[in-house]
Amino acid sequence: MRDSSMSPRVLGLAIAAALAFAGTNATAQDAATDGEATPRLADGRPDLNGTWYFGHMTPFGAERVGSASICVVACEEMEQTSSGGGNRRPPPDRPTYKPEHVAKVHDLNARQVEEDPALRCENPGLPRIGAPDKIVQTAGQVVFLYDDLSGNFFRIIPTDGRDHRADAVPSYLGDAVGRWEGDTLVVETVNFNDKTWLTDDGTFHTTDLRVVERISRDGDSLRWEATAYDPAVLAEPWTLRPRTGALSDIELVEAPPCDERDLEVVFDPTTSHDNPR
Amino acid sequence: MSFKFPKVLLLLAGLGLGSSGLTHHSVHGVFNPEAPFSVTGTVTDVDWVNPHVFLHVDVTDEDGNTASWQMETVPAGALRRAGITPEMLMANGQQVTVTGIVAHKEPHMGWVHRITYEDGHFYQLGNPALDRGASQPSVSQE
Repeated sequence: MRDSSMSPRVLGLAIAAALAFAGTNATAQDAATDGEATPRLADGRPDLNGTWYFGHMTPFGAERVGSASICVVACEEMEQTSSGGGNRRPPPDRPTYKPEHVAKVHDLNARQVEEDPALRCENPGLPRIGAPDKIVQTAGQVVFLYDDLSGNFFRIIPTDGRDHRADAVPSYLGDAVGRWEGDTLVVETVNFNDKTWLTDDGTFHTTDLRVVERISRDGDSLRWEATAYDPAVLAEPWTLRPRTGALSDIELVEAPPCDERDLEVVFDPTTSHDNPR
Repeated sequence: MSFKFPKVLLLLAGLGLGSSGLTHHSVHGVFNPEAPFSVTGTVTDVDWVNPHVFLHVDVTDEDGNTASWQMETVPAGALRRAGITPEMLMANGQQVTVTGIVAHKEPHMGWVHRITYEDGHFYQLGNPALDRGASQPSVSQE
């Protein structure tokens, strides 16, 4: 707070003290919040524990109509867009490839129904799996749990300063370590296999992929950001559009079996370009 | 009767969030937006699977012939979040009316818009405005 009656030296100290408590993640101010303070654990770190709901591309909801009817999607007729149809969606969020790799991406994209591992219930990989659905946090590690269309997955992320494992086998979700930068948890993941795509669109990557996530809490909102680095194929690092989730009281349960039945009846494979996660 | 869609849900849609959600592919890649259907029958089973829950509906026509339809709908997580269970979908075998659009390749496979029960209550699980998805270009020409 500014007080015009303060001496410049006292004012400077007051400002410094305020900045020290403000945290480093200024972008968290954009998150939806009810204005409540961010809870902290005994070690002073923001408490990221909880089940977090980040929503979907389609506005799934639970609108009650009368005493027993439920609208999972909008009951009222939605306006058609001026482009001739379809729901309003944000613009595509995709990486940019080096020119020599664009043809391969286009080819995989055109044959998504044949080639996309996520359409065969495989682990979607990172960052395609998106933000964690549940976080369990202790002083020395955080555990990310996922309720994905392909199943339940987890990542155990040490935050005690250790390096990446030297003995890890390349995997779908890689090997992660975390560190705190002020009130932001920064997670670096390496040692991926090359069996996943970055999005729905044929966006392959190499085993040199590195992903850096930044997670911060503001009140009861959680902000998740991710940047993918793969200089062998990407023209530049790809930073995903940030996502914001809300604390949820709907606990995770065992994911239902993944049983994709549409592949045999797809009529127009060129339509399969949505990015659902 | 019109209903206001909760603003918070519209906000989530506008942010383009996505996590363990939606269909892998556009609805109209499998189902024909120009081929709406409305059938009456009974829900005999529910396959609580991802990425889409399936309802098995026995439909009897005016000639007394019964056909078994596979009705496809949203992910199990979306139903669970809305408080809809397999038991609620089956409703003890009471008659239901299902509307939606038919699959291009399978005459007895449908994408559900609404399922309405004998007492008039319903579950809205799809919307014609969402069937076509967003027309997005393939990867940009970089």
